[in-house]
Amino acid sequence: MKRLVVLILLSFMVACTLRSASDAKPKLLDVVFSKAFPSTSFVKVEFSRDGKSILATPYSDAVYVVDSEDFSVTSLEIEGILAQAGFIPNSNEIFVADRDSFVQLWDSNLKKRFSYRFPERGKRASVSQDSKYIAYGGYLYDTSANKLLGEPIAHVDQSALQFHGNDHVLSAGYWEQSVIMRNLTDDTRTVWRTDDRITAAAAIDNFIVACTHDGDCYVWTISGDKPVHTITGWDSVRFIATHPREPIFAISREDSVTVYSLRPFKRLLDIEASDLIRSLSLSENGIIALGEDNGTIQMWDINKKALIGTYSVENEPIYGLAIDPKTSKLVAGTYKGKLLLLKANVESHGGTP
Amino acid sequence: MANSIAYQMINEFAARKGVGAFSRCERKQVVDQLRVRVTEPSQIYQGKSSLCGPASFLYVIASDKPHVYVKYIIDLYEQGEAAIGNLRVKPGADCKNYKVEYIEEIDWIGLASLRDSTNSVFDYQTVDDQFAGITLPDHLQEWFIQSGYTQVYNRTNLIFDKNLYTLLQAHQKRQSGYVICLLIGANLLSGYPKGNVPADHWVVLNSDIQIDGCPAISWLPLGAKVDDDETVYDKKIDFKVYTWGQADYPVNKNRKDATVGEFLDYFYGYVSARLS
Repeated sequence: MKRLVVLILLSFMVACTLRSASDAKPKLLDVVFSKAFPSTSFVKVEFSRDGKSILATPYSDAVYVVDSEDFSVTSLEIEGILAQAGFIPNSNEIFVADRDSFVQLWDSNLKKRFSYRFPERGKRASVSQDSKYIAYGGYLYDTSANKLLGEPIAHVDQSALQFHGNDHVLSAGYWEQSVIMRNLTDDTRTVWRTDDRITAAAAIDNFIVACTHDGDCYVWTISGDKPVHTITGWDSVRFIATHPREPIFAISREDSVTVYSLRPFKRLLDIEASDLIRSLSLSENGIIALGEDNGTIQMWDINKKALIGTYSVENEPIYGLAIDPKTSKLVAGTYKGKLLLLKANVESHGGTP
Repeated sequence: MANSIAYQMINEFAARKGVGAFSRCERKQVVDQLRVRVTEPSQIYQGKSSLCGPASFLYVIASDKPHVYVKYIIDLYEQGEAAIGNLRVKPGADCKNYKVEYIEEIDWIGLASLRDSTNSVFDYQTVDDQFAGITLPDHLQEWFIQSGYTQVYNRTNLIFDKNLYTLLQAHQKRQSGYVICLLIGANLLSGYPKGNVPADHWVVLNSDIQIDGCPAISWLPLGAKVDDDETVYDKKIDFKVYTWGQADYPVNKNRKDATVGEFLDYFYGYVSARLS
C-alpha cells in the first residue's frame, strides 16, 4: 500500500514537472517580413543555396521569387496547376513543373532557359544536381542527351520522388506499396515493398526509409532487402524531413514529430503539436520547424532538445516552411496566401546533433 | 454545349466571393480544380481515401453531363447541399469542416459528401474512415437510378469472385452504350497477391476487353458455356479502366502477363447503367 502511494506521488510529481515545462511561455519569433498574396495558397517555400532568395510556391498560376534582403518579388508565370517547383540542388536555378506535363528550368537571373513536355501528366518532379536529369511522374529525362530514359516507373500516385547522389532516383508509390530506386547509369531498379500504402519515403545516406498509412516506418540499407529497423506507430505518417548531410530524419504524424538518427539508430527528439501538422522542415544546422493547421509554428533545436521559438498566424494553416541554415531565419507560407520571414530572437543555437 | 455551360457556371462561381459551406476549402482552388475536371473528368481522384465508388460515379457524371457535375460541386460548396436528378446530397457538419488532406479539395467536397450522405450509420469524416468509405454495390446502383440513369443493373457478389461470362456481358453492354463500373480487388492493379480483402475497389471500364489480343466479344457465342472452356483461362487479358485519376489505366500495368484466370480471381462483378 505504501509503495502504491509513493508511486502515485511520484507520477504526480513527474506530471507536474512536464506540465510546468510545457506551460513555460515560449519565445516568440520576430517577424522580419510579411506579405499577403491575395487569391493564393502557398504549398511550399524554400531558400536558395546562398540564402538570398526565397521560392514561394502556390497552388497555381505563378511561383514567386522573393529577395530575402529587400523583399522584392518576382513572379514566374505558369499556366494551370503546379505539380512541383524548387531550387535545383547546389545552385540558385529553379525548376517549375505543372500538372499538364511541362517542366521548365529558370536560370539564376530568372530567365527561362529550358522547357520540356513529358508524355503524361505528373504530380511530382525533381531535378538532379547540375540539371542533367529531370524526373517527372514515372519518367526520367536526360537533358544533355535530349531523350527519355527507359521505361517509366508505374507509380500512379507518388509519395516521394527524389534524386539520391549523382546516379540514383527514388520513387515511392502510394497504391503500389513499393519504393523503387532506379540507377541512372544502367537503368537497373531495386524494389522494396511494404505491407501498407506508402505515405512518405526518402533515401538518406545509405538507407531507404518508407512510412505507411497504418503508421509503420521501415528502414532498409540500400543493399539489403530486409528492414534493418522498424518504427511502429498508430497514426499515418504525413511527412518525412531529412537532414541535407547527416543521416538524420524526422517523421510527422497527425500532431507529433519524432526525430531519428540512423548512425547509430536512435530516437533524438519528440515534439508535440497543438493541431494537425501541415509542414515540416529540417535544417543542416540541426533546427527543425513544424507548421500546424491552426497557424502555429514551432522551431526546435534538436541538439539542445529545446524550443527556440514559436509564432502563430491566426487561422492560417502553415503549408510551407523552410530554414536558412546560415541565418536560422524561417520562412513560412500559408494556405491563405501569407508569406512570412521569421527570426529567432536568441544569440546562437543549432549545431548538428 | 454542355461544356460551355459548365465553363460559364465556373466563371460565375469564380466571380462570387465568400467562404462556402466547406470553410476550409479556398474558392480559388475549387475553381481551378473544377476547370481541370471539366476538361478531363479522369482527374477526379479519391487521393488517399477509400472513395473509389463515389469517384467512379462522379467520373461518369462529369463525362456524360459536365454541367451537372459543376452545378453539384458549386451547390455543395456554396449551400452545403446539392442534387443530381433526384439524388439529394447533404453532408454532415464533420464532413464539411474536415481539414482536407490527402485528397484535393474539390474531390473531398464531391466524393466525401456523396459518401457521407449515403451512410446511415457511419459518418464519413476523414480520409482515414476506411470502413465508412467503402461503397456497396446497392449504393452505387441507387446513385445511378436516382440521378436519372436507366436500365441500372447490379451484377455483383461481394464474397465470391464472378465468372468469365459476367465479364463478357459487361464488355457487351459497354459496346451497347452502357456505363460499366467493375468491382475488383485493388491488389490486381498493384501487382499484389489477392490477399484477404478481396472486393475493395471500383473502376470504370474504359475500353474493349481483349483476350489474347482479340476483342472478348468473339467468346460470347459460347454463352454461359464459356466458363467451362478450360483453354481460355490461360490466355492473356488486357483492357483499360478509369481509376486513381487516370482514364486509361491498364489492368495489367503491374502484372504484364495477367491471364483471364488470374483476373477473374479479383473480379466481383459490375454495376451497369445507361444514360437516358
